[in-house]
Amino acid sequence: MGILKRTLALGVTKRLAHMGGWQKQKFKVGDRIVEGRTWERHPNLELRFSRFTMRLLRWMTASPMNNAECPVLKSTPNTIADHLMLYLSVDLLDRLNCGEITRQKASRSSPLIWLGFANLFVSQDEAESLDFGPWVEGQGAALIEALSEDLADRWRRMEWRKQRIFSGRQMRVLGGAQTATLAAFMDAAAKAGRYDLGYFLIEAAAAVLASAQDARQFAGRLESRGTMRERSEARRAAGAFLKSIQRLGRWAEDAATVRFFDDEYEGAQLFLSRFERISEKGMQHADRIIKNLEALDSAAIQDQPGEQA
Amino acid sequence: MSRAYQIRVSESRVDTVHVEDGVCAPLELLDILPKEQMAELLAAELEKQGFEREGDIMRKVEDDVVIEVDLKEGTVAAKISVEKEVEVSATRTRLVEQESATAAKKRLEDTVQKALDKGVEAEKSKLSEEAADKLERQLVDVRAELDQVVNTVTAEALKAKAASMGEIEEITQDENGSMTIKVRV
Repeated sequence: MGILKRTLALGVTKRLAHMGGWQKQKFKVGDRIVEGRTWERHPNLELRFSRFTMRLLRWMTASPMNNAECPVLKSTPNTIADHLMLYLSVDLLDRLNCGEITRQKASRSSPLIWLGFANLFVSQDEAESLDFGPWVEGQGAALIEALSEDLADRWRRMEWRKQRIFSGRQMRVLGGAQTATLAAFMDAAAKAGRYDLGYFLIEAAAAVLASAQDARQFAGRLESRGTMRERSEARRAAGAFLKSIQRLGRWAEDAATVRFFDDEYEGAQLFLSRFERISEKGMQHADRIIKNLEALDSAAIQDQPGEQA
Repeated sequence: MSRAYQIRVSESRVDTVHVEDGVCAPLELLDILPKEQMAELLAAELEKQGFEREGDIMRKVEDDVVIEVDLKEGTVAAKISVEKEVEVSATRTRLVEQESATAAKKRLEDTVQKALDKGVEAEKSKLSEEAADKLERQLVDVRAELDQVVNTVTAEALKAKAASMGEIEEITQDENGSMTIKVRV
């Protein structure tokens, strides 16, 4: 047990640092904006692992995780650190094409897993009841801050992969999962006044919009089979992420109205400076793509190489 | 020694298959005037294009495709509903021994029923494809028509707005659709 404790203490901390916690960033801590690495902004951050982590590790070492006969993981995360351990495990197993971990209740009920791996779930049902409350304050928020760079990278790749999706059903499921996850997360962040936790979405959106010429980037390969309703819903789902980040634009509009003598002025200015990565021009580009994906005849347009979708 | 029999089950079925398909999209009408006024301008322009009004819905039918504009919500829906009577038939034969003839016949009848169900599903699928093709052909034209309606309504709304601000001195419109309104306030 001593070896396990030491491995968790050193290994998880190191991994968290590598994934972005090492970066000097500005985030809201209490009522102030604090700049520093994760452990500098949150010197009292503690990672407490419960029995779930032990059960997860046992399950991973004993189970064939790349086939359907994999036994059920009968435990769910109890602490923030458990969720983090699960996140690192899903990351590892996804890279090894062992998808069984995301079929487990532990993953399906974890908001952090949905936030990082919405594309791995085959149904969006559980996403609609996600509670991000613990993730926008205290230790949960500190972990979101530390994982900011990793989350940005995941959402970027999620969007870039859309241009390879052929199945309308797969796109509808992905779009539904993205919409439900981001709606729940942004609702919680707004309620807690932690708009800064959405920085990873700004970074992801900036990269996606910079490389996306038009709607083909998101729905270019979608099949022309099925009813028009299904095809239209698939194209609409392809724009789920862009539609969600329209909310960031509204946050920026609100931030611009905060006066210099208001308590939230510093936070608002910081958000606006980060939002410049997308800018008004980027939001207009996003709006044009969404309009194209949601147009009445979007599923009827047959894109030809070189033509604007 | 038990005798062998050939059992043959043959059935046909007439069924009515019904398919529906449709898409919906926002109209992207700007709120230049209050919503109710924009809705009335939209209704007036749609009537010129052959739409009929039923409360808050403007409706037109073209080639089996029903186009509905919701004046209150600012959305347009294009729907198609098709029904067709289809006849399917299936035959199965099997060589069985005398003792098991009754049971074998029952199993064969079940197999034939499943084949008929499959046949009806196949016809439904085919009808669904035809409906989707029909709807698809209409959609591009419908969108172009509605884009024109939205442009006209927007121009009318801008003129009404300008008139409410002062006296309109001049209105010019170029071939690209840009409009300039000079208002004496």
